[in-house]
Amino acid sequence: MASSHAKSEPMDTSTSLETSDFNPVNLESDIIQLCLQFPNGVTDKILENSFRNVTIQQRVSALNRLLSLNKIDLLKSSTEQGTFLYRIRDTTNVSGSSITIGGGATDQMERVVYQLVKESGTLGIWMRDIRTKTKLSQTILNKTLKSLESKKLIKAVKSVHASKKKVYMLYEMTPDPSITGGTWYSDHEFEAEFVRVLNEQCARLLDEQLEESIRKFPNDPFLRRTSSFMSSTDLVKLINEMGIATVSLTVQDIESILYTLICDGKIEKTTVAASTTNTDNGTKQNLYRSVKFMLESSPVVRNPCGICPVFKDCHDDGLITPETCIYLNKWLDF
Amino acid sequence: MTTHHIGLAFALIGDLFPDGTSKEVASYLNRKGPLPFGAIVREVNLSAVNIARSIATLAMHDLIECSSDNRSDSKRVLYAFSLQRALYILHYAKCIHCARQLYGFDGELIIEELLLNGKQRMSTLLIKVYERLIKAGKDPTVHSLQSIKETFKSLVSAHFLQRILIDETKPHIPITIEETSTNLVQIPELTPEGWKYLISNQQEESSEPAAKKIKVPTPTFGDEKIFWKVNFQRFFAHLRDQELIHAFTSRIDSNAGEIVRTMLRLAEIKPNPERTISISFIEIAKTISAAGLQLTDETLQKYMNVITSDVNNCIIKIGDQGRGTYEVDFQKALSGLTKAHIQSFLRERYGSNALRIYNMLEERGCLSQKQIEDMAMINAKEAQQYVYSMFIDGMLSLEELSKANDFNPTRTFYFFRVNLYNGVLSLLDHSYKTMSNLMQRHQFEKERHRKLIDKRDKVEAIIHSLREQNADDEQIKEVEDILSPIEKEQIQKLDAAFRKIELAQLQLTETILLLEMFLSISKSVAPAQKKTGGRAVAAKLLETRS
Repeated sequence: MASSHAKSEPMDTSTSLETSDFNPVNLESDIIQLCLQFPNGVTDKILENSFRNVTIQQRVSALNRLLSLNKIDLLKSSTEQGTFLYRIRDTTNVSGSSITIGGGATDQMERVVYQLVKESGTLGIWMRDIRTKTKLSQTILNKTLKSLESKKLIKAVKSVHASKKKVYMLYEMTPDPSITGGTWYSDHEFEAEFVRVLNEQCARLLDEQLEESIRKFPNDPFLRRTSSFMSSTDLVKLINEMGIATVSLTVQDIESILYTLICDGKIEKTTVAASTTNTDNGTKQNLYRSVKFMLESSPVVRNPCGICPVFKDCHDDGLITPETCIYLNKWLDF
Repeated sequence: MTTHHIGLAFALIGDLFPDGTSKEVASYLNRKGPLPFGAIVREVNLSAVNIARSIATLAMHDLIECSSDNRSDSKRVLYAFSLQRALYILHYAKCIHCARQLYGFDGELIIEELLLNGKQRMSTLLIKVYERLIKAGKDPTVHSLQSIKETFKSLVSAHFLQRILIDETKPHIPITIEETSTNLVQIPELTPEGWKYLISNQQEESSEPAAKKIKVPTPTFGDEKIFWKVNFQRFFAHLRDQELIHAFTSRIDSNAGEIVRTMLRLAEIKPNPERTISISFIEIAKTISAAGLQLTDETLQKYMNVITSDVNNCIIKIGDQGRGTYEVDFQKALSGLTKAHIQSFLRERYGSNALRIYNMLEERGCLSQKQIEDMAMINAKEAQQYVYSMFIDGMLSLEELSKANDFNPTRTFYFFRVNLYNGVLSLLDHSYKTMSNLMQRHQFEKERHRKLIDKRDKVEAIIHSLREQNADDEQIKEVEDILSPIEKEQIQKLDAAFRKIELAQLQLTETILLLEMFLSISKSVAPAQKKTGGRAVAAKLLETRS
């Protein structure tokens, strides 16, 4: 990454007299032209070869001026050890106001941090990651972030999964669904009520379909079964028409709701490789159907002992025994 | 065997044999393992005669098993207590009810007599049942000795009864005959004199009691050495079939239940605990039409289609001979039914959210706490609570996967997994404890209201005798008024309470039976356990012991 090394230049007035026809401004613009030609960076060697008539000191001072003017970046080469690259800086990104605050050192850091945040896109970057990448200390980093935030360049977004974790991203970006949680989270809170309502609605729709199929085919079990299936796309349409949700739900969302219904044991799922007349269906379709329970209730839970909260403490001769159990008393009307 | 198993078994034995000696002997044998008679007499504080008598009774019921001591070449007999058999006492009522449904009143009495006496000869059995029928006021022409014998024959041919022979070389140890299809069971034919004796007795009973009884020596009946006992496995298979039919009826409809019933009946010819024989479509169609159910062939095909995709896929289509051959896989059927019981248990005890988590884990294999919270769409705190309570109850098991070499908690993954075998074990234990709780409460209430119950019984007896003597209503009313209205109310409440307890117990035996059958059928596929360490050594010891 860019780290400014101020190369010490010995003030050699003697050499400057020799090359009096040398124009530093020209040199700088030449260097800039060269950098524009190589957008990936210009090594020291290339510079040396291009400007043979220029001494090292002149080149170095020109480069330093360009660096301080923020026209180019100083980078360390990863391909060759120990060499430096000079890269043209894209001036359209840098907003001019960052230069004026706090002096040169903070600008650089702010710029660096800003660059990192920008690269992380919609996912945002965690503070600790910024710290490892820039190797800045905590306090300085905090100051930088605060100043950037006050300038409305970046913002902090709280993650819904870990409430203490904050990620930073550019001000204009909308956070990625994985941070806000997607459809089921609003204001960083899980909307259990919403999920429950959707759950019940889907179950009800499938139950109605089952009853209709029983009515239509009382004698044919196979047709009864096949006609009680509904596909996930149909369900999405119906739910969106009903307008329970403020946002329109996708097939994915409804499938996750239906998955919870399967785990509840109320519906079952089949996948068919059907191509229907609806052209925007894929090759696979998921069908769902309401089912009845195999067992209404197990005999284990038909007596109070099955759901007794202190079952493990109940002994023959203890405080809690069957002989004086209040739950049994209530059950037997004593 | 857990504490609850043992506690329940002894409570049941105490009920069946009210004197305390059997219970003491049995509990001593249970603690110490197989022992010869001398050792028992030395340690237990009862007279040798009493001990011998109780051992004999318990051995008749197969609660104590006799084996010969093979180590020290002596002729000593070792007596071992069988806990499993003691727990079968729970299912007596259901077996009797089965017999009643299938074979009528005769069958019920035969099974009842056998259950109460352990093993009996056919001749004694027939006499006893006949006498009971007559006393109960049944018509002797309908329930004649011949008809009882016919019922007995059908019970034997359906394998509900087993024959026991005594090996001449080892007179102490009875051997049960395993009836194979080639060795058709031989009902011992009673000798002609025996038969005459029985018939003459019958005629005597139906006529007026004779003033003078002629002394006739009791003849031999020809089946001195052949004993019969109840075949529990067969009854259990029948009860399991009932459960399966019930499941199909509630999932699809009653026709499907009937079809499954015929399939299971056709498969009874060769009972096998794991799978039935293959049954072809044509056989099913023939039997269905013979049973009176009007189903066309196409409808039957459709039903078979739907049936094969339900209840954990336990009915499978094997091939196409005879328009389709089907088999019932009992392992799958039992695991499907036990899963339903466990799910209902979790739903009622912890809530439907916990059930959701359980089913999700079953489908996905293993999940970490975080993944569970995300996928189940439940509050994180609630999800944690459910997972941990299910874990404590034994339904889930925890697996640790460490990133580093040491199991540092911050660097290990903790996965939860569904363990059906352990879940069934814990549910079974729960049911046994519930059963013993209910029995205890029943006993306690009886003791507490003993005076009231005695009073009520006396009043009933007086009323009954008055009614027989055709007394007038006023006298009867007077007797009834001995019980004050408050007492009458109390008695009514008490009766209702007892009925409730008994009903709960009866329904609980259904679950217990299913769970036990599941465990026995899946013992071969119990989850692999570590082979080293203290726990494995203990497990090995238990294996050799049981």
